[in-house]
Amino acid sequence: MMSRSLLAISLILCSVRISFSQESSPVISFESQHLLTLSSGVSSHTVRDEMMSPLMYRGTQIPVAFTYRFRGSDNRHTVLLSFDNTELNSSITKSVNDVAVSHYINNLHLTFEYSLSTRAAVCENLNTTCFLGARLSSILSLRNHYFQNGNNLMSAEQMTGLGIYLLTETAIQQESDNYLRVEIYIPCVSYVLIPERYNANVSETFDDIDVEQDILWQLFKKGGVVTFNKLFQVQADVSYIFFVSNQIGIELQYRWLYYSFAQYQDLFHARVLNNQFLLGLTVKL
Amino acid sequence: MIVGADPENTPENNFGTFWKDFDRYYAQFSLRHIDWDSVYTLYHSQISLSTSDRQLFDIFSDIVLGINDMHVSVYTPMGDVYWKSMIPASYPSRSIINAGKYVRSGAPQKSVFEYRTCQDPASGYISIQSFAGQGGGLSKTDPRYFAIDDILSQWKNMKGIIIDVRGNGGGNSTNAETVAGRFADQSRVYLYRRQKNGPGKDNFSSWKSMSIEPKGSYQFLKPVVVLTSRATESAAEMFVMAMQVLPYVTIVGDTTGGGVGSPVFRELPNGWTYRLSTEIAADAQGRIIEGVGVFPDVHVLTTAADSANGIDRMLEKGIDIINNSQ
Repeated sequence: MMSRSLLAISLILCSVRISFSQESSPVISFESQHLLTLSSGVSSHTVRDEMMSPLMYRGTQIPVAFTYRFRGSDNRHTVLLSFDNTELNSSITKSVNDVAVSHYINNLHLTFEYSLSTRAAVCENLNTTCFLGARLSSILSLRNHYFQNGNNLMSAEQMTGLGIYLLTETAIQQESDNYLRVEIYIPCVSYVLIPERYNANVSETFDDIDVEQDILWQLFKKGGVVTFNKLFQVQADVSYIFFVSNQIGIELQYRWLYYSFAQYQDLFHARVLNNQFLLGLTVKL
Repeated sequence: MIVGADPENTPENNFGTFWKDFDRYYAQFSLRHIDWDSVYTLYHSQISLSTSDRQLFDIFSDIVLGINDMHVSVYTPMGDVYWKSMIPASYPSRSIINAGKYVRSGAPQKSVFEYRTCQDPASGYISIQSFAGQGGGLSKTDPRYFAIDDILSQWKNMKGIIIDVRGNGGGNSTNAETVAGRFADQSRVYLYRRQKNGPGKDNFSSWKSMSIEPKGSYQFLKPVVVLTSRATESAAEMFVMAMQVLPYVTIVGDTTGGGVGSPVFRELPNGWTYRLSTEIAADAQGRIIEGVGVFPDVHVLTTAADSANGIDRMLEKGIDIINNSQ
């Protein structure tokens, strides 16, 4: 399954150049650009971690995201880092008493992405260029779940995926750099840490961990490769960049991320939905 | 909704969630001679939409007390329900008695350890009242337990050490392994565990061994006595089992509480939390200790009469063993 996924990605990347290299004049004509964007806004998380609770937990926070984009005549490169640390609450009122604060999750969400795509098609009527490529995406979703009476347990997913990446750019005005981006990413194969998830204890094996050494490093070495049977993830981004001067632009972005992860086949799914509305300041280098 | 809707917060659904989760993942029904289906039959008929929180709490209390597993409990805003320990209130064997008679005063305290020299300064006494505490990361050793290295480095010339875990109710097993590793001469299997890993009553993993390994810059490999009682529970029992496989360690006192269990926590749709054991543990000889406990090498009880007369019979036996060792 894994090798088939890798083969599929490789073939896509190779065939894109072969199939569409005859395409000549791009609709959006410009010189190569290097763009840096610093964004913030609202990040909304919805989490259901069946290993911990049947309840859905939700919360919003102000995220921070940093993006670097290279726009060549035929290629696109994007690097993104984003962070937010959100308190999630369920339909049960968070209680505060002398013993502890309970019924909430502290949710740390970190993302790193690198996307590479190459021009695949041009739709002149719509002023749109389509790019096809791959993305390497690494997500950490670390949750500290506070139960009744001061008990708390951690749960996490850390997945680094390689998958199909589709990008479209639509020029809004001729003779300008303002454009609308739509991106879709689906990982085909991922390396997931924490193969034995805590608070489950339903597997055939036990963690063989030296508790006096760095646990995260040991878990990193114990990761496993998964595909669609255990991890289903979809991410979509819509963003609009318009320039207010030759160098300075404003970016409006909406990001939608959903994943469902089950370490054990069809058991104890962690389902995570993240919506982000970001406003960014873009600098053209 | 893409992540699914919240389950209904009704008495019936709360009971059903509780019952189903135990049905799938509780590991010790047969060990404890519990017919879980009959529990459903008995209590489900008592629950309706009009069942109050108090009535539901009482039903859960009955069930938890019926299971009588130290790692099965329910936490609610109305209070928590635990197993009913069989230790009588007058049980005198859970802590040191007449300390001044046996150990020197001016006791230094090193974080989670209370340690003193015995009246014969050739022996040391360490009391560990708990193995609670989490380190950084996911379930790492609480750094306070590394203080054992400082204590042992001061006591390298001691003839022997007595470790008192008679009142230790457990905590984080990684802390117990960390302390025990300072007394290990080599890797030795001390525990076997198997997990419930499927919905069937007989769905268990195979038995997996756990080993104690030498830890720290220095290991104390001379005579050691570990004092135990019925109040020695959970992670403290793992500590006792780890120490028991070492050839120069003698376990003295009463049989331990009888539960390792590796409990997990879950929430009900009404936010109440419950805990259940998903494992069965056996000692190095393969003897299941759940509901039974770890047998000491030398069985000694401090009676009520001993206590009234200021005699700590268990500690006296431990001192004798150290003094008479080669």
